[in-house]
Amino acid sequence: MGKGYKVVVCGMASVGKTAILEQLLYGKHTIGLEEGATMEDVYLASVETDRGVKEQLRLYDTRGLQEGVEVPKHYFSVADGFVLVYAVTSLEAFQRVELLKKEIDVFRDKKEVTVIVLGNKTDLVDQRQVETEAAQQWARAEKVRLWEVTVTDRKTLLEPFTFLASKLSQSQNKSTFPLPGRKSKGNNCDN
Amino acid sequence: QLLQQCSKTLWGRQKQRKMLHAAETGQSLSSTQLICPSWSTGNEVNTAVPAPFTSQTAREYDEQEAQFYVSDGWKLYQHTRPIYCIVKFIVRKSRFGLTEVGDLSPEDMKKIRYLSLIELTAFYDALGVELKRNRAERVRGRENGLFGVPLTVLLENDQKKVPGIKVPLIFQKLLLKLEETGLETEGILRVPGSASRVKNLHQELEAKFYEDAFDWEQVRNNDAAGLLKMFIRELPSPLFTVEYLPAFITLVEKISKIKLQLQALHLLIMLLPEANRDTAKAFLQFLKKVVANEGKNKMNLWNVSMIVAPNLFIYKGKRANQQEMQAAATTAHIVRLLIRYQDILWTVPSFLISQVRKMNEAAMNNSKRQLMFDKGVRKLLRRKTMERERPERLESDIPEGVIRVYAPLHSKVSMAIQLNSQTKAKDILARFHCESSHGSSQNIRGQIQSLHEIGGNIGQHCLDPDAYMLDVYRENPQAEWVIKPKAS
Repeated sequence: MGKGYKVVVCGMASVGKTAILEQLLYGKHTIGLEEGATMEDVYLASVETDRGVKEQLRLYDTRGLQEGVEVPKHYFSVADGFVLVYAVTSLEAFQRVELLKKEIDVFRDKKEVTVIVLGNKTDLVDQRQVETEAAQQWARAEKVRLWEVTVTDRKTLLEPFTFLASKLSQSQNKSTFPLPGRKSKGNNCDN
Repeated sequence: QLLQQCSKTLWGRQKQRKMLHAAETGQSLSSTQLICPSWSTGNEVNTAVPAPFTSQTAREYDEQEAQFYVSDGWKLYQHTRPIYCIVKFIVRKSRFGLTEVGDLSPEDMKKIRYLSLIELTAFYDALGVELKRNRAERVRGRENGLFGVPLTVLLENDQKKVPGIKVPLIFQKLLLKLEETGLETEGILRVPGSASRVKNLHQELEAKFYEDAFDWEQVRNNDAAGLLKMFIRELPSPLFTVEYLPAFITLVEKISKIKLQLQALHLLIMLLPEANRDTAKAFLQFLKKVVANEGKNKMNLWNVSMIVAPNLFIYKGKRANQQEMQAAATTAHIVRLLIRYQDILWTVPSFLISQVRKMNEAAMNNSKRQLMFDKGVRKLLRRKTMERERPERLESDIPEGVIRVYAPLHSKVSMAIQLNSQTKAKDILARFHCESSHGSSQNIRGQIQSLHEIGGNIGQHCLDPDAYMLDVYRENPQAEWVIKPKAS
């Protein structure tokens, strides 16, 4: 089970977490198709990093957050990376992402985690509530990368995940059993 | 006048034939107007089973519907065409779906065998029938070769070649050859091949089969049928085992109700050793195909059973004496039941499965308790559980009715699914299937995958697509749910 990097995808309910993953992996998501709420699905994806190495990501698609539904705490201890998702059409979803970022900072302890933020649904132009500039400003302050994407265009999704995979493989804390000597071995593989 | 009578008889025969054919192919379900009102359908099949213990067994069959089709010409031919040929039994699926013999893990099947023996003994007892068992002799068969070699030895050899194979290669090949070219041959199985040719082929097979150098093209159908029958006859111990042959025979001789016969037969099939059961299944499937081509090969259920029965039930260690000649009619009857009702006979009765679950649960509790008695272990365990408890509890904060399904071969490797009372196994498969169908995992396409229930109170259980998941889940909450190709 401990193969690859564990990435938890979270955000408010119905911002399009599952849609993003399905589009990314299968390139075939019907827009506006109402699917049942996710409980917890795990996808195995191999993503090519900017150095041309393929990395395996275990993407945990989580249940959408609502009033009274929190991110289960055990995610914070196992995850190597987070994808925080909001919809540009919902200010509340964005505020939820801000809160999530704070939570991650509290729970990650000294562990290094990579966080990226995705603002989904840019195709719904006239319903936009979160301005690009404001969001990017927040991201810069938090030192995280933020992209605005839309599931209608798969290309917008590729860059964030490539970045995520590259960043994870650089950070070296592959979530395998920390054996002594393991680290040097990992270095050899990567270089 | 005589002529008139003759033609009348002929007409009756034709009509009946048509009817029988329709009944046998299962088309007749709709033609209810044929049911003779004076024939009480319910009585024959739904009579109460005499003992309380069999209530479970009986329940299985109570859900089967029986229908009798009787035509004008019936009385004339009653002697030659016993009624069972046209009784149709249907097993209604329970909420757990149907389980075929191959769907359970070998360990569980082993328990099923023990349980069926208990059930069978009780069943015969309740009916006042003596269950005779021959002592299983140690038969020394040849250690290698094809004919006259015990099934288990053959399989052991074949498994080196094709891992996981369940029916000996030579037997499969013979069946395949006949299915490809012989199904429409007139008098197949009945018309003997040439004795000398069969002898030569036999020798050639022994020499060349495993080098794949044998030329199947040259084999004539009747000779192939001869080889097939010879293979069965030459088995060092009969296909239906020395031990239980008398049980098969008494079930027909001493039990008159067709439904009870079937129940007994069902239990007998369940307690056969695995190799015998699988080989018999392959053989009966073939026979069914022969009968289905009755129009061309002129071999109907009756003919096939008469031809095949002596090969299956006459144990060559004994001389064919008078008694066994009499048994010919009896054994042909068994073969007819086997061919006609094989789909029922090779499904595992659900009451046996739930008993296996209870056995496994009891075994688990026992071993746990035994561990607890050991003081040292207890101490160690306490420490262990203290350490472990945290991550485990975090992992399992799944609410009731939610299962986590794993699909190691898909790119969507796991999914938590909320079950409701309508969710069937195939619905869960569909949720994974729509993902895998768009290209990302082509290697698994074309392979049929099924949902498996693994662990908990069962070894492994491949689920019927129509099984209601919530019911299965409640039966075995500790199980893991895995989607993978069905092992066959």
